Amino acid sequence: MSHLVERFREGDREAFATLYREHFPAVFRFALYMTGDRVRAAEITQDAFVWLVRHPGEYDPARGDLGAFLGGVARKFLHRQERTERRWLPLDESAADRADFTAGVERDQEAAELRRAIATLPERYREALVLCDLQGKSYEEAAAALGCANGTVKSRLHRARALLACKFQRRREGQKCV
Amino acid sequence: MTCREYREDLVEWGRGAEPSRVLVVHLAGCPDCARFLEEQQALSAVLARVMAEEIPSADRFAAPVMAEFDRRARSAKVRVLGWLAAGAVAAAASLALFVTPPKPAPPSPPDTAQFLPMPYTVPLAPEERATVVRMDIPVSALIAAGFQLPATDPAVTVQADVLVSQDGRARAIRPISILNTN
Repeated sequence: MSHLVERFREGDREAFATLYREHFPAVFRFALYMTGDRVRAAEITQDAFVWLVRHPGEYDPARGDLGAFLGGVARKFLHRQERTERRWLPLDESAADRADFTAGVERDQEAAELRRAIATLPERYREALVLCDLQGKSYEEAAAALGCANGTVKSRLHRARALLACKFQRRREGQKCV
Repeated sequence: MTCREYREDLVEWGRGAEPSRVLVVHLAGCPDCARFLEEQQALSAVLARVMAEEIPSADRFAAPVMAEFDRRARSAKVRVLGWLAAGAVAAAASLALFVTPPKPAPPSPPDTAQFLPMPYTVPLAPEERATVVRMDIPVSALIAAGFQLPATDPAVTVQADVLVSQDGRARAIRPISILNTN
């Protein structure tokens, strides 16, 4: 992998294309789970890779793998986008429900509903849930990505799951989440 | 322990961790915690389906990214060519310097030993800078300056190098020839 990175830095198009294809799914999924929106996920993913093209020297293989680095770049773009959106349109539950899903007919309505519910979680809980439960990272890996303690990740994840269970399960049953 | 204190372990159980015996015993007698665990397990099941959702092919979104790569590669090439051109110019300039015959050495400083100090002036210090000016000086001016000269025609002019100090004063002269204007 580091060989590919070296070749990419030297201007090898094929090496970059390989890196792009290899890391696209993880970056896209992270952005998708964080936003609950495929269009925005695609934009964030493209932004992250374009940023890599423009700053090839910023990634240091000695400090971790490229996937984690790109995840961090995508996270920064998400923060930027959410800050801008908050300025104009608070992201509450109803806004997420109105989110434009262009995937057409969702194959799994329940999964799509959960994805939308995830998008309504507070950011710090959402990040912990996405990294640990949707991207399979350990508490240590998630803590490194988020720049906080393992215990913080764990408590945020637990809070996220409790909120989700409330919002998702009980809403389906027509109950109020208290 | 209270139910709230068991919740952390219940979440981990819901995520797939092995429960402790204490937790299992508590659950058997606590319907609220049992419901909480059910919710967590159901959540894990749907999360797994979310993870299994298909995502679009990377190639679908590759065009703008690869276009940016190509654009950067082109500008990098232009930069390299620019540097090469600048290097070539520098190399040519160095070569020109190398093959150009060396300039003649600057004139050596005047030998002040041949100069006659001007009467009534302080002589130049050893390291003091001075310039040499060649001029035609009437003998009468030299006599006026204090030089003891044999009686000659005051109209005669002497061509001489004059040593001028930094303050603009003549400190010494070196006669070169006598010009008779008559």
